[in-house]
Amino acid sequence: MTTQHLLHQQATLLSAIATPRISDATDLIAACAYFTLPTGIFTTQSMQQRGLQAYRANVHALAARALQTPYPVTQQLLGVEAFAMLARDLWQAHPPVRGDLAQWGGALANWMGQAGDLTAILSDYPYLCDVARIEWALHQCSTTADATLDAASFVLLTSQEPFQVQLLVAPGSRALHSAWPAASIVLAHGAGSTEPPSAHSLQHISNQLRTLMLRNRPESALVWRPSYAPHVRVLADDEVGFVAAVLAGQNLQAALDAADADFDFTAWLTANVQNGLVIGAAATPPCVPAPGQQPATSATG
Amino acid sequence: MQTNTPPTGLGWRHPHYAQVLQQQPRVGFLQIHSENFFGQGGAAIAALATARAHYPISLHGVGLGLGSAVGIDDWHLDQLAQLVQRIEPVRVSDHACFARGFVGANTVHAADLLPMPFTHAQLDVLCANVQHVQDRLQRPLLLENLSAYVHYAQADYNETDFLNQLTLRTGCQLLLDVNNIYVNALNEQIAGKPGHPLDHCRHWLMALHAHSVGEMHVAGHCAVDDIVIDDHGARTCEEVWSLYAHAVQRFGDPPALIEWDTNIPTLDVLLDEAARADAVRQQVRDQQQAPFDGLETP
Repeated sequence: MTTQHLLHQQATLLSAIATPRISDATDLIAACAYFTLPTGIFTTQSMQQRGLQAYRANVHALAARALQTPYPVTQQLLGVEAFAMLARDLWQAHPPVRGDLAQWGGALANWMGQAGDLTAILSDYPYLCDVARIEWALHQCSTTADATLDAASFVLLTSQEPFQVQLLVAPGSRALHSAWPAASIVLAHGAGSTEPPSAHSLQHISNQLRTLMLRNRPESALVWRPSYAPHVRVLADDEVGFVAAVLAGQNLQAALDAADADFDFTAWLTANVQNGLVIGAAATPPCVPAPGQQPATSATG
Repeated sequence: MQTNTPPTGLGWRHPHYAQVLQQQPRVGFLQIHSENFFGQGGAAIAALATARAHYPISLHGVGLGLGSAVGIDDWHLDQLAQLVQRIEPVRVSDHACFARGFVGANTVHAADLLPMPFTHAQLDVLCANVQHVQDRLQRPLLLENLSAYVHYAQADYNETDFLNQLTLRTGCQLLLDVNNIYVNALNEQIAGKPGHPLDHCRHWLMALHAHSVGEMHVAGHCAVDDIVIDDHGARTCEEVWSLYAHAVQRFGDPPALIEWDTNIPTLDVLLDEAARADAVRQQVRDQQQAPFDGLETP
């Protein structure tokens, strides 16, 4: 047997475990000489099939278990059984590529939006994909590097011109926009919230959802991790442009230009240093001319 | 036989993160699943850093897929190397299995521990991958024997010869899971193999090189219809305790671990299992030190 044969042998077993129908799986194994046992060996063909079923059953259980960690709200919205089926289907469509299952499941939101057989679910829960996007951002944020506040660096805000300085935010911070009140729905279920779990009783969630859907409006969500627990909050209208610019690494002047006219930078900065989003300031890197462009000094010199 | 070996270790899982840190029970080491602590920061890594201040940590991976013919995932190895550097573990282990391969045109990960054929080609691939990881981590690995539920028609070795060749060629050690050996023997019995499963297990143990084992696991299993599954979800059965005593005699009492991964019980139950393992180890030591004890010498 060569390495090429081994590759094929391993691919056959992987395919037999992954293929949706058990009959296809057993056919794959039965057709492969690598798994066809000679008579007299102490593992029968029926044991092979039973063993194959054990691996397949493990995958199905694993899919639901792995997906519920990053998506607790999506699971609550759909119910445990429907979510387990969704997880199994996602595994078929987008199987894991990493040996760390925490990395699997990021395709859920886009896949739900594109999968034709989910149309009925999405008509009941039109915000489901955006809820999933926020949950995945929270999940990713939970293992990014720990933030370290550099309080001394804020002197740059007074010593430099606004176009020469940028705000630094906690690693993993992201803003996500939704046509639905997706962030409020996530918060109503207790995910990414600073409130104690007791505040999220089923009755409370139900009341909140009803109110949110009546008030149906677009929202921008901010996901960040101040200490060990990732948080989400709804961005106010007057800070959306500013926060997007800060997260994009733009200088303070550009961020202020993107802010709403009523935006109060001083109050915002105080609040967002306290809540752990802003962790420092840094001088903006000098402009680097694009390839082929002359530096400005040369052009005018 | 080593003396003054540390007490049995515990598989440290999420339900007991806080309680173990608060109570700091007397266990020899904490074993963690490496992949649960990948990433740059966050709560899990902070808890692990606290645990490391009180216990030796054994990193036990479930995702390298060392037998994979497509090779090792560089991302996975980078994450593991970072964790090794951060934690300075007492041991680093994974499984004698494959997990990565092609499905269609894509490379996927099975998220399971899939059995390997015991062939020359498989041994070459496994040894090359183990050597690659050892070179990167600058330390020997330990590889755990598998409970396997499908079997291959072709073999150039039996399992123990295959594992002996692996340790000889790479310098790695074995992480001997006693429960896995017994689960395989029970499934062979269901398939019609004559003889007593425990006898087959003892022969299996005697066929391994005596100095090849660097850690041992005991755990529970369950029977589902007509197959026995190594689910690490129950107390260790009497047969596995008996086999463990035999393995302690054979391999000189390397560090031992209680592994419990599903239906995780209260910490008291885990500590009770660890105390049972310590008692077995002590009993074997006492017997080996007694004159004319009649026990075979490893």
